[in-house]
Amino acid sequence: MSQDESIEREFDAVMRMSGLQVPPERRAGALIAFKEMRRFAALVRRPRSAAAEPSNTFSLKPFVRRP
Amino acid sequence: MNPVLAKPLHELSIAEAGRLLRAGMLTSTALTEHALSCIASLNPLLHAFILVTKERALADAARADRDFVAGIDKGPLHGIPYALKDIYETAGIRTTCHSKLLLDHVPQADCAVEAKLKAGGAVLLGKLATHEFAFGGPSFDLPFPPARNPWNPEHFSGGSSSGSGAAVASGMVRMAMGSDTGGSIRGPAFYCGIVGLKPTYGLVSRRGVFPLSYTLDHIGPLAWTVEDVALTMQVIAGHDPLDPASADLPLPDYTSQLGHDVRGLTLAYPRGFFLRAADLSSEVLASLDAAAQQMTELGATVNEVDFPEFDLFNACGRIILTSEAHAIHEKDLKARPLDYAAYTYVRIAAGAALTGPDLMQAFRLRRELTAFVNEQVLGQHDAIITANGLCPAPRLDEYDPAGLPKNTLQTIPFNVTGNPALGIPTGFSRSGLPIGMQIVGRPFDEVTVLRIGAAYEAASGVNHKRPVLELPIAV
Repeated sequence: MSQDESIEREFDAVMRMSGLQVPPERRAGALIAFKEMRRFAALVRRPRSAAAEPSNTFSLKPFVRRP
Repeated sequence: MNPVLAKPLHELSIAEAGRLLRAGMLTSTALTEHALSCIASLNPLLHAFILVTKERALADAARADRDFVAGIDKGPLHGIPYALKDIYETAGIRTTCHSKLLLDHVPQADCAVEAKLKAGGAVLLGKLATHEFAFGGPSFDLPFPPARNPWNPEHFSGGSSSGSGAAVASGMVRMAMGSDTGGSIRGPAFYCGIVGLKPTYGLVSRRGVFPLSYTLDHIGPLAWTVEDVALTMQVIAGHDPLDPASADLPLPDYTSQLGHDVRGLTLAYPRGFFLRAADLSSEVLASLDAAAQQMTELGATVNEVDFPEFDLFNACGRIILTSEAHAIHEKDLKARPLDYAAYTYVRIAAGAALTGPDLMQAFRLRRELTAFVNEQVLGQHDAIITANGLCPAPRLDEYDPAGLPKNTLQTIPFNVTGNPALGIPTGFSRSGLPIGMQIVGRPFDEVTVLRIGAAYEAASGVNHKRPVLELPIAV
């Protein structure tokens, strides 16, 4: 199986699992966008320690009762 | 004769019109009637407005005129016409997000910014075109056509605040509100040759503005001058306990340093960052270098710095944006796929490709990139001057509806980091289309960003040129 066929199968499987029925006339565009997202997902994986927190770390500050 | 009085009404800035209104030399009604006449003449060509609220505007204007006679002054936008991107909820006024999905949506309440503008006595002219749900691209498969560029209507006006850019640049309105999740205020500012501010994340309430991406959405104004942007910030900035991201901080006077020079300021200039971009045009590069040189001549110290690759910022921002947008639209993507424009559908549906760990890695990278910009760069500099768009506005027929819309902006880094970023014109391409740059500041330091922008604007004089549209304006 070529790499293109492989990613198309992955695309079809992911869309099916997500419950999206991609209209046939939009499949080509959606596949391009899907490939772009997979490329981005590879880019954001970089060496970092387990302690490196995400930017949206949960905080209770807004709910602290103010005097 | 006062040169301000010799100007056509649509060329008066907010500051100039405000002075005339307070001196009794102009009425809000005259200003509003003139704006409505401009819209009637120009909108059939530019498609900037998708709804004109004529009766509401004339009523607002009459009220403002009565207020001025009675000595009531509600602030810098009192009596000034403005318009809203059609993702801003307006009580009793249709708010469609430029989408078939919300074609009949009439909100019960105003968004926070509209409530502030209304309380400030401003005059609502109507609702403006946007890319569908502030995403997608310039689409022809929607209930309303895309806005067109006043400098050449065959070209893109930028997006997603496409109507805001076109309406301000053409003189239909002197201030329009936009939103910026990846560059949607600064892009139209660049392509249309006007000024647009993406304020710091959390400075202007997002409540009641249809969300695209909860952690990347920023609300801000587009206007012809830096001063008009500053005057608008005076009205719209401030804490909103009902916006979970809203910052509770004392507000400065955003006009306080306009007119100050830039001597003593240190500016970072990441030339290598945008020089590596494949789409960078030689004209934009030359204009950025000239702007950096002008800053030096004005007394600032300009240092070249390096940045991480644009691709990293872009990947980080696009993963967060697409994940958040997909979560918002998940139900309609499944139930009504063909009611979205093709561009919007394929871009939001792509969120299905992303996993929980993908999003978490993007959030971890976001913290690293934010620390880099604010500690490594803005820890040693007062602001950054850098590229906004990489090339002038593309032609609308260059967009392939079967693919993805092209993006040649370098704006998303500062959505990822949340810093304030001002899009400001630097000149024109040989084809007559505007080009510009960004000025980026420390979080909540809009005052310095506006000071630098105003100093550059005054020295360069680029905002004196306005598009000439071959249509009659009745008033």
